[in-house]
Amino acid sequence: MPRISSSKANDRVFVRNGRRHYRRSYSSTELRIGLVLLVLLSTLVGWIAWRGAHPDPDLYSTELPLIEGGTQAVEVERSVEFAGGPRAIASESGAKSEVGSGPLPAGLTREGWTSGEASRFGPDNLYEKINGREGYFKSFGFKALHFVTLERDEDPSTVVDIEMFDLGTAPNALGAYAGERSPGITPDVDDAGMSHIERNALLMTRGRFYVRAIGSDESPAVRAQLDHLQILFRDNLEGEPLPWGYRLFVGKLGLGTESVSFMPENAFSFGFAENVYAALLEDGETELFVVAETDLSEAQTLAARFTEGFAGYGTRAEETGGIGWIEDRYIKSIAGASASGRWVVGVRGAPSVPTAEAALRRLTEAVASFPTPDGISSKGEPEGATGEGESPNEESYPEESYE
Amino acid sequence: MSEHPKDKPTLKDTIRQAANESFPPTPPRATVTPPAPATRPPTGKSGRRAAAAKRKDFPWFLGFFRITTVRIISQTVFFSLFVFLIWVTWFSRLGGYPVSLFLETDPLVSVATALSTGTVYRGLFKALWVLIPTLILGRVFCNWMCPYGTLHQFVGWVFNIRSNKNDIEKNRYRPIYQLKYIILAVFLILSAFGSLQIGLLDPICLLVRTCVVTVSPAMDLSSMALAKFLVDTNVTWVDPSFLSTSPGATDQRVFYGAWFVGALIIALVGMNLVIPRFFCRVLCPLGAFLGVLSRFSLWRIDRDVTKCTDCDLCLKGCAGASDPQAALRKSECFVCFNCIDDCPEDALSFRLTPLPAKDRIVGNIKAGTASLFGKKVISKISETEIKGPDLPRRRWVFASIGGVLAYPFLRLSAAVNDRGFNEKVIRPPGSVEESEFLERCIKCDQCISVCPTNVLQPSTLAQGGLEGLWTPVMDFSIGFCQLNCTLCSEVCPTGAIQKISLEKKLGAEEHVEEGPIRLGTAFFNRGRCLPWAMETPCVVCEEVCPTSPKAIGTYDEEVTRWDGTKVMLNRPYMRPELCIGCGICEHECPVIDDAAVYVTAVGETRSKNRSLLLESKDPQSGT
Amino acid sequence: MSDHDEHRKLERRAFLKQAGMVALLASGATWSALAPAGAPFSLRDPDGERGKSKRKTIHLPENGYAVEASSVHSHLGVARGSDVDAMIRASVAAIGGIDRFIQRDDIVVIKPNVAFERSAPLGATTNPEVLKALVRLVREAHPKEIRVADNPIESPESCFVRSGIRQAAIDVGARVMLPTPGDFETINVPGATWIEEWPFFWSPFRNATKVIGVAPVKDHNLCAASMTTKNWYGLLGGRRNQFHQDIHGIISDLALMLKPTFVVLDGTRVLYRNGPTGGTLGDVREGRTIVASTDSLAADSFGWDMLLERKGIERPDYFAQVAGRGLGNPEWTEVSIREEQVG
Repeated sequence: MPRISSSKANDRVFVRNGRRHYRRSYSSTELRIGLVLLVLLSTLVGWIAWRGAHPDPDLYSTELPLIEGGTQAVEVERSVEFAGGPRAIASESGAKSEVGSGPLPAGLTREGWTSGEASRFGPDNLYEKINGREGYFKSFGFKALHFVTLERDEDPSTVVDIEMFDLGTAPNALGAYAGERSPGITPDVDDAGMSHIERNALLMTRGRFYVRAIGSDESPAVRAQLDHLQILFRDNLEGEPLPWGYRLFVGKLGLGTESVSFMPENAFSFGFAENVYAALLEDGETELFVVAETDLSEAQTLAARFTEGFAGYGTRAEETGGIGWIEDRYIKSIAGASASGRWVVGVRGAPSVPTAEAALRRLTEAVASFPTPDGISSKGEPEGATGEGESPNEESYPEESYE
Repeated sequence: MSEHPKDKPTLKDTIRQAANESFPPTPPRATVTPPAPATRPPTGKSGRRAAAAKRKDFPWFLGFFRITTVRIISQTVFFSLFVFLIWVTWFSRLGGYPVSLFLETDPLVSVATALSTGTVYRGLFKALWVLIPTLILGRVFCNWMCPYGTLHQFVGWVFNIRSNKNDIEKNRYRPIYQLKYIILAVFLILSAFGSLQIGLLDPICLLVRTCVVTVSPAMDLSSMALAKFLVDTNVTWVDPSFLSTSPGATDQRVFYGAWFVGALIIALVGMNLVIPRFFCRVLCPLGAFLGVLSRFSLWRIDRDVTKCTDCDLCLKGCAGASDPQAALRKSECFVCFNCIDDCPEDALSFRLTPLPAKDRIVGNIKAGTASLFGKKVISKISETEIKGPDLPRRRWVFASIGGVLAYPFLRLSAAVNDRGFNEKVIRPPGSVEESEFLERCIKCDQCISVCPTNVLQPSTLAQGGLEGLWTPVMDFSIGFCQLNCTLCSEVCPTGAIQKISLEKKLGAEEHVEEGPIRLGTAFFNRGRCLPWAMETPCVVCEEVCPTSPKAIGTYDEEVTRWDGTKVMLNRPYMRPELCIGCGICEHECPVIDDAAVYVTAVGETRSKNRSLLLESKDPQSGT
Repeated sequence: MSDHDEHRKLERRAFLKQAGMVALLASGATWSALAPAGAPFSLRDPDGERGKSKRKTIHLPENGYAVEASSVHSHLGVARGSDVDAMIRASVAAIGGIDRFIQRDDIVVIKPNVAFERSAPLGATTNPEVLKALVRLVREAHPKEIRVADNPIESPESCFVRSGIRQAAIDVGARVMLPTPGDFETINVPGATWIEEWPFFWSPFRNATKVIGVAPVKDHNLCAASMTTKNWYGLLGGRRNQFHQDIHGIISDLALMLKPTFVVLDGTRVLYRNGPTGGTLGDVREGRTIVASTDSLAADSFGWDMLLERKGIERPDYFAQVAGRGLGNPEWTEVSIREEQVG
């Protein structure tokens, strides 16, 4: 053990001559090996430096790792553009859009017209485009709106706004169309939809799409463009054959297609009434309606509910043929419903009981020999029809008030 | 003493010599007859002076670039690299640097995790870069690469004021050096059972942890002080942030238990003044492991008994206390080459599998009449090699029993059990389930080093028991888990925190069905919440909640306070199916003594047993 | 002299030397303990006042960083379109051109909103393109230095990188200053209700002569909107999480604290719901507008009416409070304004 003494030699802090060694000879072998090792060390340092200069690209990315939000599976796409502001701004892009954008077919423009950029709206931001009317479209199963503005080269203030609504199913599109069509118009019917041009607007359905093209005025140029669009959409949008309600009323009963309407929900303001096809008879007052159910007992239950619903608006009138007719207390029209096989059939707005009876008989006969329509699910809904237009998102935010 | 002709070996000679008889080269000798037992070569000071005189015959660069100089350069390079990699473990500096390099090349980490998990994770194969040289050359790692060893050696060398004689005595082998093998046995058995505790004493883990927990905050503080100084003296051309290990962090970093880790390092490094390389010789389990492997090494230091005068000078600088003056203990030798540097007789060399000379000595070595292959044996000690660790079998057995017993004692503490778990032990995102976590975490604290918000802390004994000591846990009063950050998973060398992509963490794109990774769930303590209990508006928690849609909603109500004023209160509530447990709500809550919204580990996705809500497979349901 | 006398003489000398040391030490100690407080080297503190820690407080310039008001130039300059560079130029030109505000040798601090770690398209932070355009424009007036600084709520480095602001600032040669613990000093705002003394991110403001704010248009869950007036929130440190207890009062104090040279309201994107953090693209819509203004409150009211499209809905409280302090006009229609369409 070293003794602790106060001599100066033992009071140093640092070593003195730490590299002192006692070997007798050196060797050039040692030197060579040493140099090899030094080369290896510098290679290592170089490799480290190279690694440092090549980082993992994800680490510093400013890209969004995902578009839809972290903790939520969102199925509906969002609009990326907001084409808001006065019309004049829409003209700023000015690019010819020859290629169709999304489901919009190509070749929208005729000569002398230019198309702006197409934009797309989902259920969340539909109100930006059509404030006030969005509820109407949402009740028809609104999925998306494709919007583009066409502008006349000569006169930029002459425009045609094209709105193509994707309503999910053909009945929805037809229903929406029927609701917007002015009374007295006879549409052109083709295999997959209907259309007409009135004044400055083209309204048409094609399969699940409902198209509205509205011009800024009624000039011949606009009219010509609308004609062009009607042909274009008819030829280029895929359609599906008219749904069973139309085949029944138009095909079997020989009513005009314009008289048929489809109500996916809340028919006649009854909350329970879904997927109701209705048609106005030739007299213009009596309305026939039909709903497809799974079987007789279900149909009877639903028919009873209809009757009860009608009874809320009036008083019981006669009972004929097993049907309790109800007379509306204000407008004195007759309504009633019954079940026939799997069908619920009914009459509304008839001027008198005999008329109602006759109408109902007509409908019942037609329905009896109507084959079970293809593509109708056991609930009586055409495949793919949906009455819900809200996206999952809307329910998860509590109402926020800014007052 | 025979003459030395001044000869310079040719290249062919060099290569031949390097293969058979490394260095220094043995000069050709005269013929064989043993000289009379007359004069021994001069020893002591006169012998050393003679040696020094001879050295002047050689060119200066041979002396300057001898092998010990290269070793010192290597130690410097690796130590600087180590410090650099610690410095670079931060978001803005990370680049692609392999910050876990030292931990991944640490063979004990790889072997122990291979034992506990049965796999070699990600970069841990790099341990081969150290294992194979050890099998060939012996414990070169300890004195050429290990940064902790370098630290100890440097401190022991720079403050060494002992005389040669005292140095020699200090470096003799002592039985206490067997302790590291006992520690190794206990740790390896624990690992085999599934409790990875090597991180407590592994030198690399220990040094990384010490740097993270004590040195880094000290550097940050000094950087701040320097910055203030520069501002006051109006110097702008120096950017003091180079001193900081966490530039751009708003708050000074703090860590639990830093005092203990600091005291430990000071004690361990300070012990070098008493016994040189104390930790390396007495405690280091990695050194023990490499020592066990070194028994197979092909090269070793060999003592020529026909030249050795038993002067013991080789012990003066011996780093491993491996007794080169007698029977070299292969498992203790650090291959530092200091003994070769100090032998005045050039009796030591680094040779390829030299056979022990003992059996070939003819005659009586004590009487001085022995000879070896015709040359006179000068040394009185005939043994030249001890292969393996010199641990009696009894001690190995008791060490193993200790390891087997330790496992149930540790594991049966409640921390790991799913019924008694500590709910405040919230692990980083990407962590595996708790019992697996303890099989993998080497307590290196690299994740803690890279965490940008300082939320990760080394666990205390109270939180995780001994098994969980120094493992990463989150403390949301200090920081929070940043939503788009996966840095901790990037740097974990053993997969305690699996490497996850950002999409996996957030539950996006291809991971939408699984949902996001949840660390826990937040709970409201309505009795402490300002709008619930104190009629005071606040809604910081909802504002900062980063998920979309937010996991915190509010019931909004205008109330008339006790003093008649009307105030709009937004009273927050939790949406547990959306909460990911990031803790920013707890961090920002102004009730800072005991936050009104706090996160606990229940609901974490890594553990099925700790889930809170019934989970469906349907992504629509939002869970 | 005898040995004895010799010895006595030496003794005396040693005594005098030591006595001198003793006297020096004793008198030094006595002086520092007892001499009156003002005297040099005195440490006396009879009532504890001297021992109290004194916080150095900073004052911002008397009139803030605003330039002289002008009756010729508009207060609000609105530019609409999609070319950000052109919009910035047009809007600043509308309020007098960059040379009205920035001169040679100015040190300009530009304060964007980088509060959250969100990518730019999510609308929670300032659009980096707007920042770049603004810095390019400011550079044309040849200031000495342009600093970009903010004290985010989340980790500063990640916020600056993820929002793209850091790269944008580097691309145009501005100096990015991130907050570190030593960068904060206590600021004194005379007349403020809540923040009369508060930690302030001072380092970027050292020697600064002009301050420009660039804020996005955001919905806010607590104060209904976060635009140019609330932007200065990001300059404060300390316990900001207490501000929500009277957020409108705080915003009004912020307006009192800092009068900028001018502000830019970045309406290229509008975070119209779920602000201030947003988080999905569905919360954002295009605004295509940039407003430059010397009256922050008027710019905010424009943003409320025209960009958040809440015209007719009652304005947040802070409008009345700021106007009540005479720090701005809450009705943009009453303020001189020029609008331009830049394509």
